[in-house]
Amino acid sequence: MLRINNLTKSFGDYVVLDKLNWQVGDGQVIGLIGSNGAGKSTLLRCIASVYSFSGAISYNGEHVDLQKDKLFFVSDEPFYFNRFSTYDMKKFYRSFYSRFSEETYQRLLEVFHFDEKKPIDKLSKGLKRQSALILGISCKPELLLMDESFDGLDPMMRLKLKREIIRLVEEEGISVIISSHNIRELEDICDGMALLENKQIIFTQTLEELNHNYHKVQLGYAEAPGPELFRGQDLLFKEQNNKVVTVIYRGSGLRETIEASKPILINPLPISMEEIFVVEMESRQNEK
Amino acid sequence: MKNKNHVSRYLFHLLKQFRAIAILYAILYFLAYPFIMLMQILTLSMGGSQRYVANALPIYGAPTLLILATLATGLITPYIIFSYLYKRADMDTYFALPIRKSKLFLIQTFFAWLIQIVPILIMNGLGYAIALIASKTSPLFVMNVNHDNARALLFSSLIFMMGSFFLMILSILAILCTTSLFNGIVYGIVLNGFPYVLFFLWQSYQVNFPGYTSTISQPLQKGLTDVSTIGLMKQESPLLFHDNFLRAISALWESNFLFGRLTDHDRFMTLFMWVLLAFVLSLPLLALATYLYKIRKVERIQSTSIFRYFYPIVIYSFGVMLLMSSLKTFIDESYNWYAEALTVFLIGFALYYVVQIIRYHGWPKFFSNLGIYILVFILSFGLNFTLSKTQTRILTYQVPKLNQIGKAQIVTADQMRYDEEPYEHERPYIYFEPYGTVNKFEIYDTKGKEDIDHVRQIHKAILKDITDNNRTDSWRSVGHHEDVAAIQIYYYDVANRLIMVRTYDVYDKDLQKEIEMLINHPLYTYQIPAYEEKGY
Repeated sequence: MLRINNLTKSFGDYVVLDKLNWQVGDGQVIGLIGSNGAGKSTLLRCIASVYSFSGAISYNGEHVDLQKDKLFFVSDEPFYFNRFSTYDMKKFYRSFYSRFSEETYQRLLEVFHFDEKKPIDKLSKGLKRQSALILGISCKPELLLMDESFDGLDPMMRLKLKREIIRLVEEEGISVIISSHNIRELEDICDGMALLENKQIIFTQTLEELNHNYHKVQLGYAEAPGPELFRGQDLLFKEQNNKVVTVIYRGSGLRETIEASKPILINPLPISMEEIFVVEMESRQNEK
Repeated sequence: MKNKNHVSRYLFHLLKQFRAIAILYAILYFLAYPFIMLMQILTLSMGGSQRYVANALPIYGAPTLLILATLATGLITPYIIFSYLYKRADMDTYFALPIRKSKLFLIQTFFAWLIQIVPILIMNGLGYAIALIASKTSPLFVMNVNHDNARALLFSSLIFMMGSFFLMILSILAILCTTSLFNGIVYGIVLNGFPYVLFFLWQSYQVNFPGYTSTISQPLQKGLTDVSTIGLMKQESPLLFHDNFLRAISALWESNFLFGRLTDHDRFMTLFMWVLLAFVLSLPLLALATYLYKIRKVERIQSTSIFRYFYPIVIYSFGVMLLMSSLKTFIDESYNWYAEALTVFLIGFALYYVVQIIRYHGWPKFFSNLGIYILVFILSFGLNFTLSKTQTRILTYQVPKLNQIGKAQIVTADQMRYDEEPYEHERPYIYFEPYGTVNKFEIYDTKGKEDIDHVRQIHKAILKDITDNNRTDSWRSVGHHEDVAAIQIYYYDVANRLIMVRTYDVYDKDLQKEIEMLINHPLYTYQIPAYEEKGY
């Protein structure tokens, strides 16, 4: 289990993460979402010990610095040596990661139809990412940290990568933290989401919790309701188009209020992660 | 990384990563020493005469080019191995690797040393072998095969190993304290140059006092010591590392190949000890570098600074030294010192401001920088004033104690230069400051305690005359003077090592007579016309 207590990270006078607390259990795929500059990459770099920080980050009860062979950080910019192929880079990582699996490496080459002998600097951006991910997964980490790793991959590759991650989680119980702007990309792979905003993880929920907790409903009225409708209620979102009102709310407390407004139509709509992310963000900003 | 196997794996990986550099170095070192030596031997064997051989021997004896190549690669290699320290994406990977940062750094440093030192040692040995074979196959080449040669090989190898390491550490420190490659190179040059600037600045306060005698390159005859070998203006110092490194091996190999033994053992050992001292110093510097590596902040790469106070400390330290040097030069040589000091102030500020523009990539705040500069200038001015006064006073009034002196000499010489007519070719000559080489001179030489003490008393009387008549600015006094006698006083210890030499103009007639009575010879005199005033 990854446990973060009171993590604070500043760049000069600018505080990026302030007394952040967070826990990630084993065998989970967590999407780390947040607006630009929220500190997603910084948080991952702190977990990977790239950045120094104040506070405590432990993995399996030990300081994360002592557990680095169980972690692998895939940076948003793929790393390789000049003129080195994926095959050469494999040797580099193998000299550091004692659990490097040749079997996994060969399987991933096959799955991705990847040419390991081609110099990485000659590969496209997407293929460079693939190379980094193949190497990272082959290191057999218990916690895989992926910083914007899906960017630049074509849909087919994304699908294959998602399958591979799901396979790793199911078969080997590893945990994965994926930071991304593209929430839709994370929806069908993550078990849960963590929203990083205002220097803190402001919520962490599983997909199941998200589906149960957030509701989007379209309401139809015989007469166009006035602006006082639902005033003072804890709505995350409200949009009115003449006689049709669309609302998003959290929990089940508002159901009775909605019914009491006597709509002639109550139409529950599917809510995407992206919508949840947007309304939560706006809601927090309004609170401020 | 939990076992040695992984370390060796990583070292092999590094060798693969930097194989091009390793090959390049091997070629460079080969061309710099064994190849050149081979070509020279072949050329000489085919048509050389004894005369050419005699000229060429020091060249093939001393691997000067190899030392220069070692100097260059020692300084450059860290910039190749540690270039990733300037790339954030690369640092992400390196710092996330499951290995202690200090261990990673030490492996890389060791590798950087290894790719230099292995080919250097091979080429050094190869050069030795070529010289040995040449000496056995042709009578043209003089090299005595004995233990000293083997010792020379061993010592030169040691010097190469220690020297390369120290050179690397300076570059590594510059890299670790900077945020971009350009700054790293600039501050690498600065760190390497720092001891030299310090040394020459300090040395500049050791000259221009009454009695000062500069280094003399010409050998003196008639039993006088060559001042350059012991030098009051010493050109040797532990600070001048690159110079010591170069000269230590040169001294060792030249003497061995030419004479089969160390001709100047003491001098070589001094240089060797200084290289050893630098190597010993490099160990705490390595510890410091390891610490700096551990705390290197990835997020500060390509920003204004890694360590907030590093750039200011270097810039202001250098600034103080340059200002002191400039102030000393102008204030010593001109009566309008305040005007010159103002010029130094203004030029110094302009330079400082340009440095700040480069540093901040834009216009820095004018008045706050001016304020800081004024403080730096005041500090430099004060230090220069204090050092000038204290050093001048100490050096001016120094006279060795009687029990320190084994021999004393007084030399008087005629101003006539040996190349001026009439020149008597048959007479021996000496170098006599300030005239140059002269052949009309008289040397008084004494080992008697009473006479030595008399020389000391005369020395003190000259110093009193300097004080009483305000002749403190220089050995040349202002105004018109007739029959001034220039003399030199030498003091040697009981082992006949020169411990002090001073040159004075003796103005006082009574003092001149006293000296003449002691040395039993009239003093050579000259006239100082009024236009020879100081500063004109």
